[in-house]
Amino acid sequence: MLPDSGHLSPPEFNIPDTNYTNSGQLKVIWLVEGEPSRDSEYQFELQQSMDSDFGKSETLYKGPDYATFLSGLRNGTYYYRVRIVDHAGNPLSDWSTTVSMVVQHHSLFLAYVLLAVGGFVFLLTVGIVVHGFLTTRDESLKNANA
Amino acid sequence: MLHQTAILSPVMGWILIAVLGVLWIALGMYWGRKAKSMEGYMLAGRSVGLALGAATAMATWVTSNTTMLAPQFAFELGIWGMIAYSTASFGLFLFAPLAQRIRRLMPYGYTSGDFVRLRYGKIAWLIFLAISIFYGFTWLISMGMAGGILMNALAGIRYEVGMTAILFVCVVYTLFGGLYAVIGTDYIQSLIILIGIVIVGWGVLTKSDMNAVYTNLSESRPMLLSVLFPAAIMAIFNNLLFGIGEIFHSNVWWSRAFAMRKGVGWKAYILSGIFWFPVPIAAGFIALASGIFNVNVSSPDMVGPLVAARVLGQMGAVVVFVVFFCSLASSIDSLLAATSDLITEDIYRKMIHPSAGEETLRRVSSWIIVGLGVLTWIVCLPRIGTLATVLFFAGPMVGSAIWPIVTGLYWKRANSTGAVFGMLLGTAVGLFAYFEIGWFTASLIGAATSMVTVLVATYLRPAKFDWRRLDESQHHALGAEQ
Amino acid sequence: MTFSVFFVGILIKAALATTAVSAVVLITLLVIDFRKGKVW
Repeated sequence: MLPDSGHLSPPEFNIPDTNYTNSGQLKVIWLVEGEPSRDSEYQFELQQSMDSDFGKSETLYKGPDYATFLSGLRNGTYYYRVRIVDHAGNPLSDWSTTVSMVVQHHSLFLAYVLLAVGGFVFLLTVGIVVHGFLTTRDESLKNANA
Repeated sequence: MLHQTAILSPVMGWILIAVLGVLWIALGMYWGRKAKSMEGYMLAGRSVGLALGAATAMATWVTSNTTMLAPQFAFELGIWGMIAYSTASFGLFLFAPLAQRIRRLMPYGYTSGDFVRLRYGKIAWLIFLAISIFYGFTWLISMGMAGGILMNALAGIRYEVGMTAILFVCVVYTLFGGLYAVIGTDYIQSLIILIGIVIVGWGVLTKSDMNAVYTNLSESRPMLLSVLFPAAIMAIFNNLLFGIGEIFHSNVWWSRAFAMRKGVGWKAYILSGIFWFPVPIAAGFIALASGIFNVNVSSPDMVGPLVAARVLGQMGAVVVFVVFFCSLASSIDSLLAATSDLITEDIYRKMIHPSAGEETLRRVSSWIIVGLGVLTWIVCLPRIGTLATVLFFAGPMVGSAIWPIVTGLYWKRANSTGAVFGMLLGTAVGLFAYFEIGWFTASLIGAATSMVTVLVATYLRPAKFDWRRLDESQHHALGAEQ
Repeated sequence: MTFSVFFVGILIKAALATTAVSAVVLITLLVIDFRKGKVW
């Protein structure tokens, strides 16, 4: 049930204050005070921005879920805030406290080194199998002829 | 809770479970009647043909990990993620010549444990069994949990109930039908999986505009389209080597090599690799379309079912449910059978009761299947999500088994020192890398360490192995019993 | 550097087409095995 005042306390993020990811993915989770109820008449609006003051922001999600999964983000610092809105989009709460996340992908150098090591192990493994296959095929032919 | 609405009604879910469950159990019992001897029960009479052989290898490799994790990989790691996932089929391709070699060297072999014991002796065998059983059991647990979680997410069936239902069905038909039932049901499950993926993939493709998908991704998840996405580039060979390690060492694949008709093994494995290769891309693609259909994904492992249900409605949800049920069942049955074989043959027969007759072995094997099922059920019951990630610890372990297995099959000079230290060092260094650098390096580092160890040991102390010692049927004749 | 829309489109369509062909091949193989009496 919605209180008549129409003013709810804002949701709270359930992620560490300074987030860091080196794969460009993040699960943003938020909670509301009290018992979350499925048939509630409100929904959430989640915004993302590259400025801490949300000068230029985009709405990432508007709906009833309590989380969204982000992936494929580029390097940078991202800020998030969430609030409760009604189905027409009118705010029912203030914005939550802002959380930030730093995306810093692994260095490409490390990626290339691992790619090279992996490629080397893989090629050698293929080599042993192919070589083994060819030589033992002859062996069995010799045995068959003998 | 992060609620996510179930996409099927529980009634529909139960109808599907009942229909599929009864079908598998009935077929398992029917085919099980063919298994008159222990060899029939464990190895389907060693006469499996090409169609069933290729289908069983493919279906077993399509686990929930493929149908669930491939969309997740695409969603997290983008285009490279899908391609990286597909490379797991190289394990099947490379196992093709191995399967032929195994069948020839050990015409009467039963398990991969048999090979390691005869080839490298007792210490290597014990380490190998520890790795194998750890891997098999954690895989089984992750499947059981995935079953419960999926039934819950797709149809709102309670986790404990769904998990119990799928484990029960698989235990019953594996118990009655042995490898005959496993392979027979795998064939039908393969067809259902392939056709289901085409229906869902095609459905999503025709309802979405490729340009719109692309534009949406480049705006909201740009790195997914990037060729230079570091985490995804790192995943490529790690995933590949994890897959090779899994297939090369696991008795799931060895028992199929023993079970296939002479000359069929290598063709079946090549074909299964070709069949499997496009599956992660076809299944992964639907995750990339989530943006244009405004599907909110709160948990990345659910992205596939969510998009399918949103785009194709109830029909799509039913297809997804059936495909998941089949991919889980085709892996759980194989794991139950192959792990039970490994315990029956390598632990019971070789360590506890060497003179056991067929009757006894068959009975022991049945109890082990039931025991494994119950044990899996108990571990799955509390739904400790993090437990499924234990499977990833197996990455460095199985990676470190690649070189001991391959060189053991082809090189006379490969020796037990190399195998023992290859597996131990590979596992240790790989696990270290897991915690110090990240999961995406563990299999790769484990395999590389083991490779170097095996090469050095082979160079320093070359053995001169007599291949005939692998054929246990000749032991008595040769007087070569160890 | 990004994968082009053309590449992504081809990749996905090829994967779907191959999967469909796989199903057909699998059925054909069983029919052949069945005729030769070599299913099991």
